[in-house]
Amino acid sequence: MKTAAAVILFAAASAGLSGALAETDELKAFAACPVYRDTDDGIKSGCWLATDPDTGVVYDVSRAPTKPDWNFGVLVEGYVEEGASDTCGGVVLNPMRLSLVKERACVRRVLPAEDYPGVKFRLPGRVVQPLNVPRKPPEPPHEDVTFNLFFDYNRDFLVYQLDDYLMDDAANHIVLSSPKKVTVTGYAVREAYEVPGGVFVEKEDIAKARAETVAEALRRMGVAPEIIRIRIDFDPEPVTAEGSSAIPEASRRRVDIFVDY
Amino acid sequence: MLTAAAGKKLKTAASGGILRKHSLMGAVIVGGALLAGIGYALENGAGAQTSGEEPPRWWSPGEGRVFPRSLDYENQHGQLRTLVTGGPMETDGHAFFEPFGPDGRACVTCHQPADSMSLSVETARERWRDTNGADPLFAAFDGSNCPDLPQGERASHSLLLDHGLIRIERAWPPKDMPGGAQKPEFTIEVVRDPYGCNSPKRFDARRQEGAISVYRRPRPVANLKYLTAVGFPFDPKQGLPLPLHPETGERLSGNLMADGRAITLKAQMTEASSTHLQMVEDMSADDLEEILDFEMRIYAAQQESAAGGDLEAAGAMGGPKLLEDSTAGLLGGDTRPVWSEFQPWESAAGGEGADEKTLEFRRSVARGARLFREKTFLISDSSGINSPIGFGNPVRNSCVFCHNMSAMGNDVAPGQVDLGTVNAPYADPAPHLPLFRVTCTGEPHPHLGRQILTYDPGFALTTGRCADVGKITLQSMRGLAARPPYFSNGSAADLREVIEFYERRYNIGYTEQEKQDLVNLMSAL
Repeated sequence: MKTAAAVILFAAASAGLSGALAETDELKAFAACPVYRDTDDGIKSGCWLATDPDTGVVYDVSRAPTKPDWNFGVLVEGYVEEGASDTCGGVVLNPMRLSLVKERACVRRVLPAEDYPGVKFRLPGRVVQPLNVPRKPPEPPHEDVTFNLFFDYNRDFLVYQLDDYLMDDAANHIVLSSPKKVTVTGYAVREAYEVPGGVFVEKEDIAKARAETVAEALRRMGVAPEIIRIRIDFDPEPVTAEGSSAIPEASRRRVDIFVDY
Repeated sequence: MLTAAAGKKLKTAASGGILRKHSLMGAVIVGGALLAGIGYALENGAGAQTSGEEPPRWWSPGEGRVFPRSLDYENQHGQLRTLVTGGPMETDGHAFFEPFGPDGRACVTCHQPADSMSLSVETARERWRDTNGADPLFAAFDGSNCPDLPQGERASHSLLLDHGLIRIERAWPPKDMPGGAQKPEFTIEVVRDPYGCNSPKRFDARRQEGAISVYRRPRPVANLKYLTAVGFPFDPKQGLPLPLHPETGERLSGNLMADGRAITLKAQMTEASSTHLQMVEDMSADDLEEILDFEMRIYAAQQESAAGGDLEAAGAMGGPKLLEDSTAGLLGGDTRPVWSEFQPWESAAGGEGADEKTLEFRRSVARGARLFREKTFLISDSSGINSPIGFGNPVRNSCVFCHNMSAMGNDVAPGQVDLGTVNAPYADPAPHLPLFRVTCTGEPHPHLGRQILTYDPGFALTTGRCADVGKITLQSMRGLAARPPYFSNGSAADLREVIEFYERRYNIGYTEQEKQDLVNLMSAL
């Protein structure tokens, strides 16, 4: 069993990550029921809170690409954002990932704003451009390259304003550079992942579902079906790449798109 | 592309037996004066002639009148205007207007210009009165509650006459489900079948085979430039890029039809010709092209407000001309905010020479527009909004969260969402409609559990997915004043009831003034 203790040290060595992390940044990982705080500072300004069951610390998990559902548990993974002001009533995690845990039912809990202003909505950095914005072809010579798409726990859904952005980038790279072959590898993490509040093992067939989703997305983006190969694998090593949020376990729930020239 | 001046084609007897005349557009135009209830504004009026007779409000199939460049019809909130780009257009022999099938209907039967190219319940009633129920509108196949019923009786057509609903028959299980799925994720049982159209002889619930009958409002065939526009490559609601046109490979908007069963206009026409028109043979390629050409050139919107006057007065930009001239598919947040066409009316001035009552109505419309954009509320448990996208459940947002396309108010992304208009526990009681019990066989529905009571499975009848049960493609918001009732099943009798439904569904907390402002806004679109 792979254990993610309440504190995990992770060397965020990769360049290009949003919010560069120091080598001693602490990864918080736990499972909990989410609480919604009904703040109103415009659209999408409500707060999401979750309490680490081991420490009792309340975290502000509002900045996750996937927000909670008040009916279900959540798996929280993220880093404390140093110096972030408390606008919701919790310690701010950012960057972070959050996955819905559908097998865990939760009681709906809504807190009033209680003078907290909430999180003013800002358009995230990874937003797909409209179609009237021309995509730039990759500079030749073209070399073999791997794109990564990162998924929530046990899901094959392309995360809005994360995976769609990464997919747009990958697909346009492929379409505009005419490779010989594209290999789509879907992974599932079958090793048990234990965090305070739960133990998580992904479904075996989620690897195939992820690969097929990505292959279908590539086809719809104009990649020739005949050059796409699909394979599945399990328990990959973590990667640090754009979109991984430097969260090792979350980076294992992914699809690799290997572009072969 | 067929232009207004194009010569017509000779149609063979086998494909309908219609001889089309050569037309000299611009030479003969019917109408000319603003008539009581019906006005013809002749922008291309050189050489115009007037017939001297008031053309009927109802457009009968095959009557062969000219569709003017600009055409006005009164309704309870003022006046609707249609514009035909490049018009006037002769309809004699035109595939949209000619009766093709054995039931004597044409596309125009259910897509009437006076009703913003849809069909209001009042128009259906008038037609029943005027023809004693003999009009092709009341064809047994779908203009009655069920073809098995005695067709001469009003009760057999009650859904059309009381709620503006047309019967839609969907094969179950669906064919060619998106993504290549072979088996639906749910089963359907018939809980209540008031007209026998979901009886075992039509739908075998034990074997899950046959056809399901649901009842829906005709969608307006106007402003389709907007409903077919593609702004972004992705459908965030499905987590996939947009589907591609099977012939051209172009991306498709996903905003056609209540249940998305046809992804192109031509596919819709082909389906409609075999169902609503009861044609045995497919429409010809030329006919499809001719209808497509017209559908992409017709715009409709309210032009005059009974209480607020000219909707283009004092700097406002109401009416269909804006729709004709604007680029489609733009997010209101990126360009002209949704319904900011009425922003000039926010000020007290609001128009020279207008009386205070008129000015107050205009200010109300402008307030409604701002409310539409800015009043936030908690949206919860709505599939397509709160799931599967990661917006969260609940999420605080306003009407423009979904109604986000500039000038039009439909969704730039494919707009299939479950507002609760057809699914329990949110749908209003509708004892006149059949009721189905859906049981999810795999994952439960993201918000409604494993069993769902629904009046219309909606998008799920196309995809076979449990999460899509009750999702309905967003409605067009233009020309609303001309075509009550509202929502896909006609559950809102008037504009006020639309607002009241949202108030009940999301506990928004609208004040009486805010409700009226929103009603006034919608009456001016």
